Amino acid sequence: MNEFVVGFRANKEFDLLVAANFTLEGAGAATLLLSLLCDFGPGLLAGLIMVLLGVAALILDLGNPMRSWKALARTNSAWISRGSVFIGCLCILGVLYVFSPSIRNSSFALVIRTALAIFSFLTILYPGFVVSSMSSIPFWNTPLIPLLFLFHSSTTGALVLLSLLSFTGSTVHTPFNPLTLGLVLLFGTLFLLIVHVTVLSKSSSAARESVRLLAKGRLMPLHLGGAFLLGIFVPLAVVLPAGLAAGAAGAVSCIAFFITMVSRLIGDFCSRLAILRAGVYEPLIG
Amino acid sequence: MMRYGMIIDLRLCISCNACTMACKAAHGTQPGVFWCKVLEKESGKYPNVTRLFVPMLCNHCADPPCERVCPTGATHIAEDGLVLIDYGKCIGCRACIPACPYDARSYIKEELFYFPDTPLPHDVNEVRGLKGVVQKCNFCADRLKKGEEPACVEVCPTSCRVFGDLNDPRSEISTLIKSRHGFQLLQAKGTDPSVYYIR
Repeated sequence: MNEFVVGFRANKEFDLLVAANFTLEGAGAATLLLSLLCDFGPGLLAGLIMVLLGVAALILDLGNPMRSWKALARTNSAWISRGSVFIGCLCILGVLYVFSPSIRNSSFALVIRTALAIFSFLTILYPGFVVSSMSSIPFWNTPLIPLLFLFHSSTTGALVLLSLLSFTGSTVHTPFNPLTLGLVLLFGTLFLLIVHVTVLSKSSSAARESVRLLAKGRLMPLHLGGAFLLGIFVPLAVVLPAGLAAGAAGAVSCIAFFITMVSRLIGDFCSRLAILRAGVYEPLIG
Repeated sequence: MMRYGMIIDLRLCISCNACTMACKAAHGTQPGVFWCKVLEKESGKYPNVTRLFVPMLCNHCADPPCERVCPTGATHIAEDGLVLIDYGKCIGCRACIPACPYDARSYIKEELFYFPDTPLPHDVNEVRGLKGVVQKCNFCADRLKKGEEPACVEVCPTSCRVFGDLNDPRSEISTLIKSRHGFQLLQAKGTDPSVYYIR
């Protein structure tokens, strides 16, 4: 796309590191939240590590990382500022809770767990709002994006938890069936992916161009191969029969869940990267 | 309160790009960075082809989406309506770039020079040494303080650009907007740009 010709322009600024940040932060926070509900230590640690890796990716992406603390300044209007607060509180509370047995066993434990759960949920939510607040890119500027990102993060978090539960052979009591949750979220994510593209394919010219890039253009391998195949169909194909076989062959399930987790993580990343790269601005003059 | 604005007559623009070069000379922007540029739109089929030239710059919107998304307050609105960037606060998150509907902003990943790797002695220092920040047109704020017009307005050979106070109903720009039905680009976005066009 020639920058000196009136026409469609694609987003170039939010790319690999931002997609990695959204994926790791969202999935990590979801893993943390679900692990809190199960009181599952390895899940808490894995979630926290993923969140910290996501933060590292974001800081690497900044032009002036040494000034990153200044991002806390405008919580009244900027979703990035709000997200910085959520992430900051999550990281501090997470490190304290995970690495300090005295805090875990203290009388404040319930308060800290509750706060951690709230900030985890907010961390899952805020990247979707960062993207959807960009009104100049119609493909992003829809309430479906925060919902889609919420489902992406929750699905990946659930599958990471499932994999860790299977790998550790843990018998923690879970208030929900992780396998059922994973399946429901996978189907929910699939539904939202299809709805998002379908709705925007009937929207403005720029949105239709975004959909064309994903469905038939240069982003098709990333979108169909990454988001759908690796992100949805491989996990579905593995989780369903693996779950049925778990009672008879635990070792098979462990490997299968691990493949599911890795495939889902890659697929989640590919989906968010595809959405970011498919962001097309409205032409300046019709 | 004064609100600086500009009106551009699209019938008069000949895409000479004198404005592009004047802007570069005035601010010392590096290769690949254009605070002001002229876009082309070709329509129709031979032999009935028309070309429209659209000078583009920061629109200094009254409700700028770039200011809303900026997490540090680096992008701010001055009293005279100019949307400016405080480079000392910019962390280079680049959220303002997808937020801007007008492709007005440039991210400076690394410092580059035209001839060949170092600045010339007489090069303007306004943006020298600024790496990892976002830049854009500032309506030549320094020239305005000296009572001069922006460089792109002064240099235009066809006088297609008129600069003035949008809040003064008797100013030339306000008169032109009213009499010649000046329009804003992407009006539906609700940003209320300070740059108007006549067609």
